[in-house]
Amino acid sequence: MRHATSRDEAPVWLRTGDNHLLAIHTTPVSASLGVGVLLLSGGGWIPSTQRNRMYVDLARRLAGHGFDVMRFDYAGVGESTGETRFFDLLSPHTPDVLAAVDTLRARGASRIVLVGTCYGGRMALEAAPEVPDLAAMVISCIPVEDYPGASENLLWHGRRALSRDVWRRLRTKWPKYVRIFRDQLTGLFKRPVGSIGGASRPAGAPPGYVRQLEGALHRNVPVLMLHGRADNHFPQFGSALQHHLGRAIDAHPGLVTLELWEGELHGERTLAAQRYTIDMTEGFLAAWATNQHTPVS
Amino acid sequence: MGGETPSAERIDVQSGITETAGFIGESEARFFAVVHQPPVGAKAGVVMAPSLLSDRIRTYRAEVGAARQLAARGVAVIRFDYRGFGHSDEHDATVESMVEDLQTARRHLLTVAGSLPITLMGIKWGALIAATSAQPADRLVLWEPPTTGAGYIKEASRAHRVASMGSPPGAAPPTNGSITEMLGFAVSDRLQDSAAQLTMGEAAQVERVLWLTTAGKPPSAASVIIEAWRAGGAQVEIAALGTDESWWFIQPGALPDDNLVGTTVRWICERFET
Repeated sequence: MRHATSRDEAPVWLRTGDNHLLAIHTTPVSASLGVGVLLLSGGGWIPSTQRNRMYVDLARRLAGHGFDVMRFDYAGVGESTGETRFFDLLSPHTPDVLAAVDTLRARGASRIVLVGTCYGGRMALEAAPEVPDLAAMVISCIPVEDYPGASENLLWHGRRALSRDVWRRLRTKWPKYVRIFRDQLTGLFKRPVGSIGGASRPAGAPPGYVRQLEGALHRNVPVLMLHGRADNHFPQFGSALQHHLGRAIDAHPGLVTLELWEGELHGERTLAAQRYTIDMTEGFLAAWATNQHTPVS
Repeated sequence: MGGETPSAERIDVQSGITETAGFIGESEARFFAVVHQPPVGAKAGVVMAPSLLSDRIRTYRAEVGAARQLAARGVAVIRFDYRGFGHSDEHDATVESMVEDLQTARRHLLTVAGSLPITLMGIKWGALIAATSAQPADRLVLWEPPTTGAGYIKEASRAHRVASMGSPPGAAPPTNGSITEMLGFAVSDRLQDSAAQLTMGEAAQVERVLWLTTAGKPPSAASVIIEAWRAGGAQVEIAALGTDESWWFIQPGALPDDNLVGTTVRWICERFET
């Protein structure tokens, strides 16, 4: 199967409020399915390429299956204008996502697939109720805790920094890196960290992201969920599966495909994690397209 | 910009600068670039050579911020992703292909903005590419430059080991055939081989150099290079930002550093504003 190249791609500036967001539209290189796939990056100021340009690879592969694909930089990230000081799960970049969805529609997509990792997965869920023509979702490593104003990366580094073995090895070999980890740890305690599961949620009510997922499932939208067993927030994810999240999935049999990877998937920090995410996403959407669609002329 | 696919242009309402994003290059594999142009005719040009790995993500917004400030003050800027990196086409990148990309970007800037005095700005790995590509009368701005390609690779490998220390069991091995994994990025043996030959000392004679470090003075290996430039008549200025931070790790500090960007913009604009 032929993959797309830059010759099948067009940059486009999106408008949201006062901001301009840079998007790259990859057009299909086989018969068009009329389906637009929106790739949503994680937090941490990572541009729309994602680490090691895994979203460039994914976009060009999906175009080979007949999808229109779009990746874009959130406001305050990459080439886009605006400012983002924190990736706050409670005040996300939803308008940015919807602007990209509108652009995909304007360019011929009659149905939309949302693909997001970590923060981007939460963006997909946040936007889902406002995308009536939503066809499918792939969400990987979604945080199931809400940290107002806090950074996932900071927590990740902070937890690593707490390891006694890491400290012992660092102290003897690289004092400079000890300072880096120590600074990150200090920063962790300076930041306001909200209550787990959403500050204003009534007792017993499911968190917002579960309600958003349920909404999509009620509309018969198939969902692929990916998670790593070694992810920093896997224990919380596992706990959520025992409660609201698990109940939402069980209530819609056959719609959610949950895949757990043995290693660390969050942040796609290794080549193996990147390859797994690309392969699973491509495989799921290619199978979905085969089942759902005959190409449109 | 572009060729077969369209470029995208926007005009900033507040500053009046124009930003054009697209793919350029005549070869099979093209590269992604953004040109930032001032509201009226440019007085100077800047070609930015980026770094490669997680340090590129870490410095991305500072790059963009510097380009926008420069354009607002009358400097045309081109920024780009090397072939094989970022949004660019697949390519088995080497030092030679990266120097070629920088030269193509330079020609493109001069085509769209007219004949201009050029400053090459290199960020970490990009400092080596910029210095290698410099022509007489160019100026150089170098952000946290390594003195050799091998030095950059060694530092990246060390940061990779530090980042992997807390990794859970079962993490992927760091090497796979002709690819070495560094901080979640694939670095080919071919690129490493070509990096082994790359040294800052091979830079062409330039007019002025701004050497920016995040902490303290440049490493001792740099003093030989700096003295050689000075002996050749170049004016070399060294500025330490005093931040003592590492660009290998992606963290909230990925926001533009005002001191880093401000020092750079002032230095470049001095050329024509005084």
